[in-house]
Amino acid sequence: MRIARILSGTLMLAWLAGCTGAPDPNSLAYDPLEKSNRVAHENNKQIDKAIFQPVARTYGKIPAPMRKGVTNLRYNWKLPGQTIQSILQLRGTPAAENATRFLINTTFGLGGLLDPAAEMGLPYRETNTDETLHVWGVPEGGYLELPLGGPGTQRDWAGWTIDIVLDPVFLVAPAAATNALLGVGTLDIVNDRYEIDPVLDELLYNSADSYTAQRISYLQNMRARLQGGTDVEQLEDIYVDY
Amino acid sequence: MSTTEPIARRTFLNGLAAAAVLALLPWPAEAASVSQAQTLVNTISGELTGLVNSGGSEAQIYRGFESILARYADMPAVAAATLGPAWRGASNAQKQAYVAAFQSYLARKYGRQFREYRNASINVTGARDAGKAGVLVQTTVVRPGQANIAVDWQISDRSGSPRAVNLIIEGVSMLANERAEIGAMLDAQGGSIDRLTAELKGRA
Repeated sequence: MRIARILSGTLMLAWLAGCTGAPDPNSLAYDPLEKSNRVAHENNKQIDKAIFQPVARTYGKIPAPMRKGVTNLRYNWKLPGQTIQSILQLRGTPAAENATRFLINTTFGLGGLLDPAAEMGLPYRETNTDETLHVWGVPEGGYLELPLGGPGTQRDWAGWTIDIVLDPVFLVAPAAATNALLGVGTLDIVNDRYEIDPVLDELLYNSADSYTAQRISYLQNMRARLQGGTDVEQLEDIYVDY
Repeated sequence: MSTTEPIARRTFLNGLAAAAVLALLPWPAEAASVSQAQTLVNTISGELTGLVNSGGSEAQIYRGFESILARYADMPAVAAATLGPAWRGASNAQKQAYVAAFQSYLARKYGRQFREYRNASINVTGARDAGKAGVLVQTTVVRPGQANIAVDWQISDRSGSPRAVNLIIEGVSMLANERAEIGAMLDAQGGSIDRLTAELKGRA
C-alpha cells in the first residue's frame, strides 16, 4: 500500500518534471522534427534557387493585371470549399460573404476572372481546413518542412491534404474544367512565390540560419493570421534584462 | 527637525493621497501614452514614406533609414534584447560598438524591404495598451495594386520618452527574428562579441 503510494507519487513527480522540461508547443522553441526538417530545408533551398525563384521572377514579368486575373480565377473557385469551411467554423457572416462573393464573381466577374465583389465591399478572405482545425481546438503540432512543399505544421499539412482531397469543385466539375483549374492553380503558386520574393530572398539566402528564420517567421505569421492579429498579451517587455 | 516633521508628514500624506487618486484613475495616464505612441508612429510613417519616395540612391535611403532608427527607436535596448545574456558580460566599449554595428545592419536589411514600399501609404488603424510591454500601434501599409500589409509597432516610454522597440510585420516580430539571427551569428563566431560586431559590419 505504502509502496504503491510512494511509487505513484514518484511517477507523478516524474510526469510533472517531464511536463515542465518539454518546451511549450506554442512557443517558438518547440521543434520536435528539426533534424529531418533541416535536411528537407537544404534540399528545398537548392531547388528554389535553381528552379522556383528564376521561374517566379520570369513569371513576374507578365503584366500585373494579367497575373491578377489568374489569381482571381483561383481564388474564386476556392470559394465553394471556403464557404463550407466557414460553416464548419460556425462563422455565419464569412460563410454568407463567401457564398455571395462566389455568386457575384462567377456571374458578373466572367467566371471569376474579375473581382467585382471586392469593389462592392466583399474582399477575398482566405480560410481553409487549417483554420477550421484551429477553431476546433486541434493543436498545431510540430513544425514540418516538407520536401518540395516548404514550411507548415503537422496541422497545416493535414488541413492542406483535406482541402485537396475534398475540394467540392473538384468533386462535381467535369475533368476539362478541373484540369484548367489545376493549370490556373499552378500558375498562381508561381505568382505567390513572385509576390513574396523580396521577403523570401532575404530569409532564405541572406540569413545566418535560414531554417530557423523561415520557421519562426512562418509560425508567427500563421498564429497571427488564425488569431486575427498580434496578441497584445504575447508582446515581450524588452527592458527585462536591460 | 521636530518643527518640520508635521509639514513633512502632511506633504507625504498629500502625496500618498494623490498617488491613490492616480492609481484609481489609470485611464487618463494610459490614454496619454497611447496617444503619444500614435503620434510617434504618425511621425515615423511620414518620414519613412517621404524617404522611400524621395528618389534617393540605395545608399541614401539606407542612411536615411538608419537616421530614423537612431532618432525614433531605442536602439541600445533593442540591440541588448537581441544579444540576450551575452549583453551583460560585455564591456561598455563592446556594447557601444555592437549597438552601432547592429543599427546599421538593421538599417540595410530592413531598408532593402522598405524600398519595396514605394508609393505606399501607412495608415494608423488602432492602438492598444500592452501594460509593461508598452503600446501596440496598428498600421496598414497600403500599396497600389498589391495586398495590404499589417505592420504593428511596439512603442515603449521606459527610456524616458516614447521610442519604437519592435516592429511586427504580418505577425512576425522583428525582435524575435533578429534574436534568432544574432544568436546564430554569435554561435558561429564562437561566442565572441567582438567578432560578431565585425561580422555585422561586413554584412551587406
